[in-house]
Parts: sequence; structure tokens; C-alpha cells
Amino acid sequence: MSGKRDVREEPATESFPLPTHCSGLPMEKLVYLFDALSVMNLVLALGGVVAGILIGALPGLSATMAVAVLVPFTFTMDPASGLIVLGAIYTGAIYGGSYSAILVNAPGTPSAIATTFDGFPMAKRGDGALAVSLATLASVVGGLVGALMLMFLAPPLAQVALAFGPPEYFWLAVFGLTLISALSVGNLLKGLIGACFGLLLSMIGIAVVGADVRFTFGSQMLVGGIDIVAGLIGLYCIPVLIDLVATRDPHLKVESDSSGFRLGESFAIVMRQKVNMIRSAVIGTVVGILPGAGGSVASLVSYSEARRSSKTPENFGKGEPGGIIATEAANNATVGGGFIPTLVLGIPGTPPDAVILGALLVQGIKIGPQLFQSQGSIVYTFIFGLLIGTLLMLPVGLVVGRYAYKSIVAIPKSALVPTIAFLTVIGSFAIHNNLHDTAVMLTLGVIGWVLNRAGFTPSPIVLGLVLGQIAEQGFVQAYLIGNAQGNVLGQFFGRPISLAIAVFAILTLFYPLIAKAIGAARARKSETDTTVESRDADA
Amino acid sequence: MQMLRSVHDPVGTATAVGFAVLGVLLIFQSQRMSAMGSVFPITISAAMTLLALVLVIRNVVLGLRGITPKPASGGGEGGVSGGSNLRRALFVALMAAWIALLPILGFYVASVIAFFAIMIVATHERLSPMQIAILIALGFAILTGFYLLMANVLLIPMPRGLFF
Amino acid sequence: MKLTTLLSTAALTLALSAGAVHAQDSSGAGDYPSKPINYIIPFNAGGESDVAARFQQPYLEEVAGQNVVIQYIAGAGGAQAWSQLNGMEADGYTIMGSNLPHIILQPMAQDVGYQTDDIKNVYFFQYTPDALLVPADSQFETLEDFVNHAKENPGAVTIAGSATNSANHVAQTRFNDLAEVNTTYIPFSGTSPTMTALLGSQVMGAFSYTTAALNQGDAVRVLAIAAEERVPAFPDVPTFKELGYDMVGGAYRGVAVPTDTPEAVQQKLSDMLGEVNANEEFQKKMEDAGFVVISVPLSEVPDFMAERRQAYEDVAGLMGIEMK
Repeated sequence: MSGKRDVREEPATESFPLPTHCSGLPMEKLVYLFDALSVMNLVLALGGVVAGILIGALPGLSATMAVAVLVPFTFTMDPASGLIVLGAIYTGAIYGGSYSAILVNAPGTPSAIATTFDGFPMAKRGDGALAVSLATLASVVGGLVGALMLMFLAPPLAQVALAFGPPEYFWLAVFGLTLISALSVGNLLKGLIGACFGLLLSMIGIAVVGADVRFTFGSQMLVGGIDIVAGLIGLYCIPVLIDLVATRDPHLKVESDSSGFRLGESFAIVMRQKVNMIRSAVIGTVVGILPGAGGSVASLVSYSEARRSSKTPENFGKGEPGGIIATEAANNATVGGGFIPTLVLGIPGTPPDAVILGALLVQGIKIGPQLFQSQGSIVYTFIFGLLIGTLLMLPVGLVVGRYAYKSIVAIPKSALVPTIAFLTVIGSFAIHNNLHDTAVMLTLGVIGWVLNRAGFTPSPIVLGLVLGQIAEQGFVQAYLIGNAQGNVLGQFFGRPISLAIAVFAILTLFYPLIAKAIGAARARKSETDTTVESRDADA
Repeated sequence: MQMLRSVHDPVGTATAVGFAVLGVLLIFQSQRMSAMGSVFPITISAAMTLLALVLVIRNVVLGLRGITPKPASGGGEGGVSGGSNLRRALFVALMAAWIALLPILGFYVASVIAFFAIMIVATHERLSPMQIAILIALGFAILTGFYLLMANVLLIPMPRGLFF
Repeated sequence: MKLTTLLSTAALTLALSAGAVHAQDSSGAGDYPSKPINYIIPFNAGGESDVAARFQQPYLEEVAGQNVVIQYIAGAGGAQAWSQLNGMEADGYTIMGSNLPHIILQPMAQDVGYQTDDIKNVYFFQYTPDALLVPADSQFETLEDFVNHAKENPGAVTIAGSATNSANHVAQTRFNDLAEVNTTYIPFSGTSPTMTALLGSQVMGAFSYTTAALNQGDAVRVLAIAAEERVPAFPDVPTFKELGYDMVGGAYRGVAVPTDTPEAVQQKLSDMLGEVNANEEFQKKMEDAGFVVISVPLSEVPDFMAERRQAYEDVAGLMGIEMK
């Protein structure tokens, strides 16, 4: 370890102020701030944020796609400006995913899965504007935390990515899966069955380990596996549409006072939830650092934590503002977090980072441990650009969000249903530019609707689908490594980080049961009465 | 009447039976895989089968004791009941047709047809000619806008068929 | 009447599965290229295939006098795109990245919706040699250390790589065979998780490409590279050949077109790609990024493919792929 640490920690030590030297790094950093603040860069950041929000809000059109499309254009700019645009688009797209999650129950990006849990119930009861405002504030704060950690703590935090081996990924996924118990209060069995179904869905296709072709039932369509985004759009969006066409009722309740952002109220809630918000942002940054985990895992883990530590866990999933704050703070923090391994280690933390890394390579910028010193000007201008882009999200987001909310409410059902249907089709097609995904999306949607009717809600299925691959690969890799070392148990239980995550997972799993047990003890008396009554009726 | 209610939550129980059968089927499918590739599928399929059977037994026992199901949608995710099942079926059929027609008719033409067909299914009230005109204009604006965004801005290779 | 015509035409198109119907202008290259060329990458943006195509893009645009638009159809390790290739318009304006050993090993191991011969390769322009990497603080200073340790501890040496039946897996299997050692292959879902596991010392070594090794800089030590000659980006790293292991390989990347593309157009395309490859500026950029530029024009593709196929078939037996 020591050899590596030397290289990595150099920039960290360098960031201590050098009193005698006028060009100490903090000073230099401020210079880069002025670079980033040029009118040109501000305009680019603003344009990037707006474009990102719009693309992110459309399910299936992902941050990766937005970034990839823009890469060629950035070749004509100077590297720092190019990076600012890419960063702004990326952060905007992650935030934009919350709109569709809140307003139509379809997460625009996988990062926004957990936003649907509370966002859509809030919108349905008429609190859509409040939910959007909350998501905006939380996203901005989360994005700032992530970007600041990128600026000040990148080299040491990059070590976190390296400390996470296969067993840690396995336990992290298990931790995410414990959320099932929280999401299926009232019917844990059905939740668990749904999660198993989701896990099995995640195994379809060619396995990474062993290369078996699994559960494709001879269909060419399924060889590539079920894409998570296609699954999300299908399971969340199609059932809403199916029920929407059936009745006359409007999609969302219209508020009596739909004129404002309800900013004051949002600020008050955010202030009450500040611990939750900061904790979620930190979780988001750390999970964002882990290559292969990403925004969806980050938001699920912090949602789970927010619920566990909440005084009113029973409100989660029914429109609890704390849920939106947790997920949105976490997923926007992954943007900054994801850049940490990208810039420090040369390992992209998320798919959009991979595209940006490729763009840098093509521009001849060498990524890696030396980047912070050798290309400091570009890196710090970029980080300031990211900060500015994140701050711009506040006004832009509130304005765009308000229009999005108003148009969703105002648009007649006759036009809303085909429009959302059209978006599900293009969104699922655009993932891989492949109609197979679209067919999978619709099939899963219909299955999801039927299962929901039978009491199997979509969220545990989605959880299984999202976390299945991470859990399985982590498990099998850890097993293979443990087997080679002759110490399989040591892989799973002998490592401090994996032990800590495992303990948290168990705690989270049983916390609702403990809470319920206490509640049940109180309510026992009345319940026994009803049981006796029904027995009498039976006899 | 008592007989009909002899199983608690009949729909959920039937679905659980389906899951149990699916689990057994998948366990058999997994036999052909390599050791590393089959450990997860077999474990999870077995767990699903087991959990589904527990649910079935629980529901049967509860049914015998005459406990009726609580109203659904405890998690806030339950669907909307009631309404027109014909419209639901038509919507799903139209979506399927849309996807099937995309590679044949081309993206734009197939989408125009399906978009307005779904619009008809989703319309519950009688519309004035003016409203119809607005809806058609709106539809074409949305379709064209997104088509251009996808094909020319995001550079996505769109499925092309007879038309475009 | 119109409706029936429409429906029967639609059915006909479906029956002929698109490709054949769209074939046109089989006489000659004519004024090809006279409109933008769509260059489809069968992997996600940001990978080696994408980066290499991005390097080609400006030079190819210059040679062709047309825009080159890079698009992505990712999924199933590339199989998603390759299985669709022959359904695309065979006019030379749709070209697709083609990767070895993928297009040979995938159809060999399972039914992925295409056969190796379905892919009409017009040019192979570069490859990224396999490289055996260890963390910078590893106990292994040389390949010899590594091999000796592996011989003393059969099965205990773990080597990470990207996916099963992949180029990395081929390299590890061949290495096992040539060095007469038994190492354990740990497949990861891509290059970044592989490198993360390596840098974190979760595994003892990793098979990856020179391009990936370059990104990690001082954090990794490259023990040997499976190229014919030393790679310019790594002047101090020996080749496997120098060390006595006859191992040359990696991921080869080329350009393929739908099979019905007119011969003349294929030839023109091959010539254009050859011209790009001959550009010294392009070569320099590619080499700096760790790629090795090779030139396999249309006329030499059949021999090249036959040679590679033989090599992979030998390894496939060792990897336990059942030949169909």
C-alpha cells in the first residue's frame, strides 16, 4: 500500500497553505475560480444545466447520452470550458430525473428511483410543487457537498474506492436490499417474493462470471439481459398509464394555490431535515466514488438510512418530504463523488465519467495521479465550473420545475397519456438504440401492473433488478478469491468495512420489525378482539 | 359465501402459486449452468419458491380462520381500481402494436398512428372541433420535436421502415 | 385497397428482413461517399473502441470529405449490435466497429444471434496488446517472480480481467498454458472494476490492455506486454516474446459493414481507412494512448481472420468452450 499512498497523497499535502509563497495552492485555486467565472463559461454552464435538466427529465434519455453527444463539440473549445459544459450537463441531468419521478412516477434516470417512493405520492395529493422545490434544494446542496469533497478531499477519498473489494460490494447490495422490509410494510412476504423476482430478472442474459446464458428461454431479445432503465420505465410508468386511461380522473390533484414554488415551506422543511440532507450527501459522495455502484445505489442506501433514523418511518413511501431530500441530496452528490476516482485514479466512477474520461484522453490530457499537479488549472477550473453549474440549478430548476409541474397539471389527459406513452417508447429505445429494450419495457410494465393488482408492488422488484448484478458479482468474485486464498469466510466476514456494512444491513433489516413489535404490543388487545369475533362468525 | 371467502386474498394467493411454479422451473433451468453461474439463480429461485409457498399456506390458514383481507394499497403504491378494463386492454394492445410497427413503418409514421390511437382511447369526454384541432396540433408538435431531437441532436439511429 | 397494399408491402418487408430490400447501387462506388457516414460503436461511449473511433473521426472526415457521425448500440458485449448489422442499410453509409476476439468467441460459445462469417470486415486498423499488470507495491517485480510464485502456489494467484470468454480471459488462459502455471481468473464486469480491484490489491494481478495500463500511470507495474515489439508508450516493459513466451494478442479492432454492401464501396472504405492509418499524426496520437496501429486492408482480411480464428480455437478448447 505504501508505494501507492505516496503518489496519491501528494496533492493533499500540497493544498496546505504555504505562507511564504504567494502562489500557495488556495490562492491558485481562487485564480481558477475567476477563470471559471468568465462570461463565456457562465453561459456554457447555464446552457449545460438547462440541457441536462431537460434530457434527464425524459426517462431513458440519460446523462451518459447527453454527455456523449456533446463530446465532439467540446473538442472545439478549450479543455476547461469543454469540461464545464460536460459537468453542468451531467449534474443537470441527474437532477432532472427527479421531475419525471415526482410528476409521472417514472424515474428519468436510475438515480431517481427512490425519488418516486415519496415524490409521486406527494404529487398525487397535490403537493407536486413542494416536492419539486424540495428536490431542487436537496439536489443543489448534495451537488455542492459532492463538488466540495472533490475539491478538498479527492486524493484521500479515492482510497475508499480501492478499499472496496468484491465482498464490500456484495454487502452494500445486501444493505440496499434490506430496504425491501421498509418498502413492503404490511406485507413483507410479498415484498420478499417480489425482490426475488427482481433478482432473477437481473440474472437474465450472459453472465459476467462463467458466461452462462441464463433464463433467456431461447429468445434473442434477452441475451443482452434486462436493462435496468427499461425495467424502471416499464414497472413504474406503464401501470400508471394503464390506470390513467381507464378512468376520467385527472392524473394529479390540482392544488388550490398552485401559483408559488412554496419555497418558504421548502426551506423550513429543509432546515428541519438538515442532518438527513448532509448525511445523505456524504453517503452519496462516498457511494459515488465506488465504480459500478452509482447514483441508484447511493440514493437507495441514503433513503434507507433516512428512514431508519427518522422519527416517523411509517410515513416513508407515503409522501414524506425527508425521503425526497435524502435521495436527491445523495444522487447529486454522486456527481462530485464519481469524479474523484475518475480524476485521481483514472477509473471512471460512473458511466458519464467514462465518457468524460475518454474525451480527455482524445484531447491528449493524461488522467491519473499526476493530473492534480500537472493539469491543476484544468482540474480546478472544472471543479469550480461544477460548483457554479450546481448553484445555477437552483434558479433554473425552480423555473423549469414549475413549468413542468404546471404543464403536467394543465395538459388534458387525452394528450398526456399518448405523450407519456411516446416518452416510454423513445426512452426505452434510446438506451441502446434497440427495440428489444422497448419490448422488454412494455412486457415488464404489463407484468408489473398485474402483480401490483395482486399486492406485489413494483419497488421491491426494481430493487432486486438494480442490485442483483452487484450482489451476485460481488458474491461470486469474493468466493473465487477466497477459494484461491483458502479463506472464503475471511473474505465475507474478516474485513472491517464489509463487517460494518453487514452490521448496518442487519440493523436496518430488523429496525422496522423492532419498531413494529413495539407498536404491535400496544395494539395487541384490540387485534385479539377482532380475531375472536371473526372466529365466532366462522363457527 | 363462506366458501368463496375460504382463501384469504385469492388474487395474491394465485399469483404466489405462479411464483412458486416459476421458481421450480427456474431451478430446473439452472441445472445446466456452470457451478459459478448457477449458485445465485438456484438460491434465489429456491428462496422465491419457499416464500411463495409460505404465503400460500398462510393465506389458506387465514382463510380457514375466516380473516378477510385488509384493503389493499398499504404502501401507497396500489393501482387504481375500477374504470374501464376495455380501455386498459386497448391501451396495452396499442402499445404492443406501436412497438411491432416501428421497424416496419418507420419511427415517425408508426408513432403518429399509435399516438393518436392512444389519444382516442384516453379521451373520455366529447371534444369540440376546436379542442380536437388543438390536440392534433399539440400531438404533431410533440412527435416532430422529439423526433428531431433524437435523430438530429442526440444522433440516435432511428428505426427506419417503409417511411421514416 | 390502399390499406391492403400497405399491409402486404409491410408484410413483405418484414419477410425479407429489411436488409435485402434496401440494397441498391451495386454497380460501383460511384461518388461514395456523398453524405455523412454513420459509424456505430457496439460498446458504450468512453471505452477503447469509442476512443479509437474518436481518434479516427477527424482524419476519416478529411479523407472522405463527409461528416462521420459516431453512434452507439451497446449491449451483450457487442452482440446486440453485431446481430443487427446485416439488417442495416448496405450502402456504405452505415459502418460498424468490429472487435476480435469477440466476434469469433461469442458465436463459438453460444447462440448470440450472428455467426462470425456474418460480419463483413473491411479493415482492421489497431489492436491493444494484452498486458499483465500488478499493483505498484506488489511483491512481483518481474514476470519471472510472478511465474515462480504461481508455480509454487497453484491456484492461489488471482488474476482479474473483464468478463468471461473475453480477450482478457483468453490472455489469462494462454498465459497459464505457456507458463505452465495454474492461476485463478476473477471476471469483473468491465475494465474499470477490474482496475479498481487491482489497485486495491483485491487481486494479485490483472490482464488488461496497454491503454488501460497507461491511464493508471505509476499506480500499476506492467510485467509484460503481448505485442510483437515493445510498445512505444512503454519503452521499458518487455514483451512476452522477449521473455520466452510466444504470446502475441489482445483486442483487435476493425470496421465492418452489412454483407450486401457493394464490393466497390467496401474497397473504397478500406482505402479511406488505410489512408487514415497512414497519417503520421494519427499514428502518433494512437501510440501515445497505448494503441498499436496495424493495417489489414480488405484483401488481407480473410487470411488475418483465418489466422486469428485458429489461435482462438486453440485457446477456446482450454477455456472449456464447447465448439458447436
